[in-house]
Amino acid sequence: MNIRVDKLSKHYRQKKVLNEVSFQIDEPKIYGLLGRNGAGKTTFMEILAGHQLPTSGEVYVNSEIPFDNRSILEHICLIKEGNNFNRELKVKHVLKTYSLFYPNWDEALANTLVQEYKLPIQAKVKALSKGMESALGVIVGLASNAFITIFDEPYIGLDAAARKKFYDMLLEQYEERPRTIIFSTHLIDEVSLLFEEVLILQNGELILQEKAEMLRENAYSVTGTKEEVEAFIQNKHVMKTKQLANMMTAYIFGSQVGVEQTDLNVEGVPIQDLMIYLTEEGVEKEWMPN
Amino acid sequence: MDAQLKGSFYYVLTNTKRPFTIFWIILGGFMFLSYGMSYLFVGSETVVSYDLSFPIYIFGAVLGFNFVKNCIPYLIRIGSSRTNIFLVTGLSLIVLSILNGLVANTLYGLMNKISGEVFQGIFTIQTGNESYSFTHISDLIMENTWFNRVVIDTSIGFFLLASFFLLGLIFYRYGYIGGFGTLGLLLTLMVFGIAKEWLIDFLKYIFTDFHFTFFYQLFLTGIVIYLISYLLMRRLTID
Repeated sequence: MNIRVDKLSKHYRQKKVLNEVSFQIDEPKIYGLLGRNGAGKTTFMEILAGHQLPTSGEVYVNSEIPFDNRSILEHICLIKEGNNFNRELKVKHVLKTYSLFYPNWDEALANTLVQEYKLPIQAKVKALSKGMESALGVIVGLASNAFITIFDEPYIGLDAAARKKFYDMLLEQYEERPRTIIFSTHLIDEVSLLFEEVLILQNGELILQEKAEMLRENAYSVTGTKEEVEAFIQNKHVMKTKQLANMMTAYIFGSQVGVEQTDLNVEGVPIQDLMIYLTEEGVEKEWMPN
Repeated sequence: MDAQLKGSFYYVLTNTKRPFTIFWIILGGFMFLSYGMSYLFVGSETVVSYDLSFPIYIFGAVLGFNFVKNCIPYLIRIGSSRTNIFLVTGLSLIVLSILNGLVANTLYGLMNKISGEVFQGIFTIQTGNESYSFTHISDLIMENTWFNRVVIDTSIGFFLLASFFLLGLIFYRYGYIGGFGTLGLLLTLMVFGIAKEWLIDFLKYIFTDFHFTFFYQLFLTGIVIYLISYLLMRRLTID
């Protein structure tokens, strides 16, 4: 299923949460949708899942608008960080309801994950701990087998081991049955290796859409004396510089050609840091590979 | 049946089963208690009375209002279309009001049969030598049969369910300002209607020639109110 976002805007009174965002997602991949708080990530995901209506512009899934569109919505599953399920229902009822809605529901996987996460299926959602409620969301998201599965901070309260289990299972499922997975999280370092493509939103605008591999290859930092660094960064896309005494570090986006001829210390920039640098106010964005 | 419709029905049923069961356990419990208490007063002038109809009207109103926040956002979240939700909710409200009417009046009839007494009414009006006992709204049309009682309770129950569902939807969509604004507007209309007498004339018109068909009309009015709710549901969004 392909997603086409066409000049999508969403305003709440005077606030522009999304401002004429346009991009396209064609292949089933694991996408990282990143950005700071209030960047518009959740709003975009809600519009994509048919929960919200845009103020202007549109999202198309296979050329159809998802809002109130049964044939599209049964292939989109959005799991948010909380309030996904009616707290009065039992876990078994939640699973049964979702199994009826999603045509590709994997019952066996759901049962396996329920056992893995030790979820009490007779318990009501309101009786679950924060972590267990998140585990329920993760189970539903994975077992839905929806062509477009969206995870918006799905693991609040899950401990490191449970999160690791989720990443492993996500990859396993994705390899077995490739689908579009859109992942939004603030724990970027933990999941960045899963991403195949990264989209970064800032203040309601898309500032970057690029293959994760390309970002890993082209985002780097150089550290050395101020003179050396300043000489090297001439005509390069510098995201940020830091200086301590006569030592300087510059975060650069682009080719590393020529760096080997210098005495500069070169390091890769993790995607999390890259997102932070790119979304800092005042950073020039014209050069970005969007 | 279409899988999504089935899923929506399953969700609504699971969600409604609990309040429905709790309501009837408590109401049934109180009914048995009333019967028990009535034996304590045998031979005295004290009469213990109970009624199942008015509680189901109140239950209908509360359930209709709560239906909006307990069902609609979650059904949208799962991916149900608004039209499906509208169909499933409408059918569920009708079934629920019929079920309430059936349970209330069957239980009432059964208890009267078991105890061997005909219930004496929830209140009595005494004028000179004349006395009139009021048990149920069907007394107003002097045809207090099991069927009539079921129809009356179903129609009033559904009317209240639909009306409060619509009110709940207004609150959900437009917040306190929209909800209380609507209530204020209705109240103003009522005061205006009384002042201009057209509301009194309308009530006189209904109750002077009060007939059983009124309850069928009330049921239809409930359906019209429910149909209006689609206008609000069609473009409903959730956070």
